Amino acid sequence: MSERPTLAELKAATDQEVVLLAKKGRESAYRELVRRYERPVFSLIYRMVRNRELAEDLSQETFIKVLNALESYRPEFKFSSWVFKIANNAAIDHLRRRELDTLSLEGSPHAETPQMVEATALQIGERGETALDAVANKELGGEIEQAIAKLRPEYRTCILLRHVEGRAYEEIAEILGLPLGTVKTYIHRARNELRIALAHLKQE
Amino acid sequence: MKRWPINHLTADDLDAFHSASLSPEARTHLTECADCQAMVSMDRVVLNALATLPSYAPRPDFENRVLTRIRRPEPALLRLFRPAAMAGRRRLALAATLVVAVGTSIVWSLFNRDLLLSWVQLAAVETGRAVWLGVRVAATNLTAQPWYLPIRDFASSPGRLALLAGGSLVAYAAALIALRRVLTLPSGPVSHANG
Repeated sequence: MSERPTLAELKAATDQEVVLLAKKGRESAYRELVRRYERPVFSLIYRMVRNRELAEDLSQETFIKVLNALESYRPEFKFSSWVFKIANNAAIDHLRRRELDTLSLEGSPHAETPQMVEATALQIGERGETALDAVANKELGGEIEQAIAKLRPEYRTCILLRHVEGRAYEEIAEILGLPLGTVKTYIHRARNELRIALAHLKQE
Repeated sequence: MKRWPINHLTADDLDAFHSASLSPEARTHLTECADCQAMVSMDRVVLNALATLPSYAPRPDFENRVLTRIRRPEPALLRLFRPAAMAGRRRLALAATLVVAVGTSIVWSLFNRDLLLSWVQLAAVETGRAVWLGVRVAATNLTAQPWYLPIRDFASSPGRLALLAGGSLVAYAAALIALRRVLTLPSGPVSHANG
């Protein structure tokens, strides 16, 4: 690979080669890495958080982390695994934070009067469907998307990485830092739940 | 016949079925078990549905938004002219200049020892002369003072000289003790501090 590759050469290069060029500060290499993974990363995060704006923010955060830490990337590992690991962590962290947020729906525990409770409580409408969410839910509105949304987050990540992104069980185990057996169990449980959720389609 | 009729298809068997590598025993079981047939058939529906899921793309300016927020390593040429690098090079240049100057002066003095010695001797003579002149000026000033003669007369006998020296020592010691008392911090609360 030359020091100044053409666009075609960059497209044909392996991830490791593009990373090497990016480490030398080549802007075209950074762009190529973003182009290669923006769709899979965005799709994964979007299906995890089900909000387009938020998914864009988390995807952006993922790429910024990845590209700023390229020096620490070890080429003996798959670049895609590293990217998906950071993307999944971003999504899971967000889902955990959101779970914590729901605890304050009833109002601040420090509120001393009913008025203070009301003032500090989150309005249900705030967490309800905004115009953007409505668009997102329509986009993610298929039966299978709805069924995926109801899976536990760890099942959801596993099933998306395996059957949407086409990653091997071993790579998923590496991405999620889980034993191979656990990954297989999660995927089969997820498929089982999806079979149940979609059973009516078969009957129709 | 270890699977049939007791064991239904396992999760691994399902994967094997979809990749056309199902074992003959499991295949035999599958042909005769309605539950497993339904499961396999439904699993295929799920996998087909998953396979047809669309891939979503972020907004078109996503790439640029990411690129504006990352720290890229600068090309080597630019790195040379960064302020930090420049400051480092300035310090290096200063140190190199000092080393060269000291080295040059050592070499020069080795080759011009006579000249250097004559300069040193001249400097020593001039310094001695200046010191002696200073001492003479100070002595002249002292003897010109109006109190000099009475004091010299008073101290002309050894007894009075000893008395004068002793008195001076006592006054000096008393002044030191008084100064120490003034400067020592109080160790306990001051009785009148709170009124």
